[in-house]
Amino acid sequence: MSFLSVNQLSKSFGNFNAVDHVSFEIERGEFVCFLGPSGCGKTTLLRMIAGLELQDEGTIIQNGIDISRLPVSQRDFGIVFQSYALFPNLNVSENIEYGLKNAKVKKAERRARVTELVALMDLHEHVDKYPQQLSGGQQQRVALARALALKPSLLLLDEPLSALDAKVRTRLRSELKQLQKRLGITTIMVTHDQEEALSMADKVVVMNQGRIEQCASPNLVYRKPASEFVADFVGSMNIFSLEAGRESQATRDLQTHLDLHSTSASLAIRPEHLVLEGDVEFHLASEKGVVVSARVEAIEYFGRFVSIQLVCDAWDKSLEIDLPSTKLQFFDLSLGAQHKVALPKEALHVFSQDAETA
Amino acid sequence: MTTLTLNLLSWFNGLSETDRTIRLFVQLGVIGALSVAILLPLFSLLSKSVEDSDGHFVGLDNFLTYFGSQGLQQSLSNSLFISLVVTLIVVVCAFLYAYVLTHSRIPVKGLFRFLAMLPLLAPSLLPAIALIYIFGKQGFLREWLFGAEIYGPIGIVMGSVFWIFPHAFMILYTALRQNDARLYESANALKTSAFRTFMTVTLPNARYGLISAALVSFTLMITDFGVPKVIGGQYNVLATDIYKQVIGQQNFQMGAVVSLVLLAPVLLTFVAQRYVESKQKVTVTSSSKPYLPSKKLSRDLLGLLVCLPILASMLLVVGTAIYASFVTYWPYNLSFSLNNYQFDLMDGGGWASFGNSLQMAAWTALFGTLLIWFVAYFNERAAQNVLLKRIVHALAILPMAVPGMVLGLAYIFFFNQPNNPLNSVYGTMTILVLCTVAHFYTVSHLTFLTALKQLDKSFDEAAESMKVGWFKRFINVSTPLCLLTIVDVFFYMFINAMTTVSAVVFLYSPNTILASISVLNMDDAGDLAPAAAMAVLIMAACASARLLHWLVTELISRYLQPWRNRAV
Ligand SMILES: Nc1ncnc2c1ncn2[C@@H]1O[C@H](COP(=O)(O)OP(=O)(O)O)[C@@H](O)[C@H]1O
Ligand SMILES: [Mg+2]
Repeated sequence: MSFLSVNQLSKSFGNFNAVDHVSFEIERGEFVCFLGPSGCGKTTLLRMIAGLELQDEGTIIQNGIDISRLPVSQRDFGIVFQSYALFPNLNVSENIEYGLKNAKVKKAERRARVTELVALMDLHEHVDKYPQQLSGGQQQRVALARALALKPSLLLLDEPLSALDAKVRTRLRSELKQLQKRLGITTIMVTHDQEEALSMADKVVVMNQGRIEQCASPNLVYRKPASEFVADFVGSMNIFSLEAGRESQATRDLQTHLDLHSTSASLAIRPEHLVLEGDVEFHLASEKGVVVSARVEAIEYFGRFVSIQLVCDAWDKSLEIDLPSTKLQFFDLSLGAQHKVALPKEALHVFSQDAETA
Repeated sequence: MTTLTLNLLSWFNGLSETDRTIRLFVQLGVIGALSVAILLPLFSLLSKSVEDSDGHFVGLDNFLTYFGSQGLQQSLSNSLFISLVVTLIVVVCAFLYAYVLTHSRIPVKGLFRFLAMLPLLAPSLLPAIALIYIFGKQGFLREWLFGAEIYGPIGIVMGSVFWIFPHAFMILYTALRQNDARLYESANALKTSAFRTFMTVTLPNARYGLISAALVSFTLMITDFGVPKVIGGQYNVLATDIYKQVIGQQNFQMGAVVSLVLLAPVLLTFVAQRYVESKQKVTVTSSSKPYLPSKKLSRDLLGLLVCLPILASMLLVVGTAIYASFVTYWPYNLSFSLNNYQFDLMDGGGWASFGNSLQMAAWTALFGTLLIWFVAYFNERAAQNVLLKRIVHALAILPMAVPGMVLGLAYIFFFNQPNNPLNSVYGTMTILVLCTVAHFYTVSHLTFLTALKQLDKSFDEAAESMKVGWFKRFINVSTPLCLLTIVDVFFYMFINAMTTVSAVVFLYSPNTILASISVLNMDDAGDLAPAAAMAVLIMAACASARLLHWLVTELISRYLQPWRNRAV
């Protein structure tokens, strides 16, 4: 039986459905990310699990116990808020000790626990400082220590990295992940950053407008997005509707290849899966897929790879192709240059009501 | 590259020579005006304190006399003691009241807040008079004092708590409302008890508000003259001493000395207050979100239980004053009558005094608002000379540290000198207006500074770079943008001018007697009911002004500044 199981959870503010009949399961020790655009209901969902917000419907079962109606004080979790919300009038060790005092832990024991956490979070030099005197990253560690002080079995993190600048953020990503594995604590982290979610999570819950779009491993979410929304939101993706170029040969080819009977579907393919003519893989790709012609419209350098915008004649639509920098010299990428592009069948995702995914 | 920067720089700083000169002269003019209104009178007061009655320098003799006098020293300790007591009571009551309004879900909060402001509309004499009706020799609740006398410290404390309450309440309400919801959620998530949450989140957050409220209450109490005068009986305090020395014994030198003694604690609290304010700014962060109390019936009932008695006693005071003013002969004939409003039949100032008050308040509001706004704008956005800017700022802050009575006395000394070319304003409406503007200068000035801070400086920099003159910017850009604040200050000035007693009590002449002074004089003459009537009349005028204020604000934001409403 899973550690946390959420069933048909809903919450609306007025007549706006912030969270709409959401269900999922989390295993013990798992690191789960709620991923979705801002305003999709991630925080609300997290707060319902904490008991800070009361759901309208649905149940939450933690460790076999129905906690749906339990007040915050009787639930077992630690939480780190987006902006940390450390008590400004208490210093670092007092902040960490705060929850222990509430739990009437004995003084000696409290001391020991604080020392332990300070060591764990590497906060030695800062124990006597006040939150305002700490950097964002240090504040985050204090908030984490405070949340872990009571040894909760569930750790909730609401965009813990978003208040930090980019460099610190990437470093703390791996630190946080390592810490979680070391403590083995079941963790839910809210984020709107897909890179963060993919790199840290064991399981990603992709949300949109209060609903779950997909709940799967990062690998699966990336390789087999369950919906057009996920395809678009996670990683970059060329998405085009067949409807736009229904008369073209390319569309008919695609329909034949993918065994599609209508043009009401959307197709999606990642930039790294498109193959230009002249590439060693082109032959193979074109045999197992569709070839369209396109001309170079723009080109952007990202160091390791180059992103090329091609306008596809058939759909009058831009396609984005990623090309490793090492292959750059083999192609004529001057503006307007014509190319043939292969769309390998196995890399194509089809999203429609009446068609199966390829 | 460098030449370009240089060109740009000189273009930005490219004020013509004449423009520079004009700005310098305006700065000097402002300093001159503020000096006449504040600094020079205070200087006269200082020099008076070291002179004998013939104007000879006597060093510190007057001070030695003062500290040698048992009675005067008694007043000092009385003043300090009673101010501490009042401060304590006011801060506790105001904190509880504000706490309930910000941390519970009691119904009709708006009404509770509105009624708490009621005392601001009345002169401080009103609660004192009402208390005589309630607890005096013929008061309907005199048994509640268990034989104690309302004339004296008890009366002073009660009356003062009433009118100082809203001042402390406003500060604490603002402080408590800034409570950060995130901290409450943290405390909740860490399973903190309500009491510990209060101690570790609510109180620390409100601590500067508490200190600030205490300092303001203390200053208001120690400088107030109205309540102790009416209900103080034999219990002397510094403020009434100044009055007695000057009006009763015509001992101006001693009046000056007592004034300076009074100035000392006020200056001290003033400095403390400035310090606290500078501290306070640091703790406000942008990412905090407002705390919304959850529903909880037991807590809300308890909240009502705390707030209702406070509110009821305030309403009792106001209600008694109104009722008593419409009664034929308290307590024997309680039938309705307007006899007490026939002011022309009494000693005092008659109806003319009410007209004078309206006139004085209107001039003060009009002239004061324009002057203070101009000075604030010019000093912040147009003045060039940094040193002079600082001086203007200091002069604008100074009046806050000067009690009304001290200012009034200083005005006598300064304007009554035979060799002062401004001597002719003595005894006119002009000096009353001038003194009142000076008295309430600082709060208005600080209000304008806040408004200007919210007004993006780049407006002015952009306009300056486009060579739009500062005066044009003042008229065309800043004034329309700050119109609501200007209106706020106008009515603030008006209401304070209507209710003030302390600053003007030395400065009126038979032709310019004011309504608030009239209350004082009628009370002195034993005409308590007419005094109550006049106080009620002042309150009615202030309430009307308040209504008008609301109306004007509404009209402006609806028709003249529609962009304000777009924000959600
Ligand atoms: N207390 C509230 N009252 C009204 N609307 C709310 C409240 N809290 C959240 N919402 C709305 O619910 C939606 C989801 O909010 P939230 O869960 O914070 O989104 P996320 O964390 O995914 O950005 C948003 O549109 C937000 O405006
Ligand atoms: Mg959120």
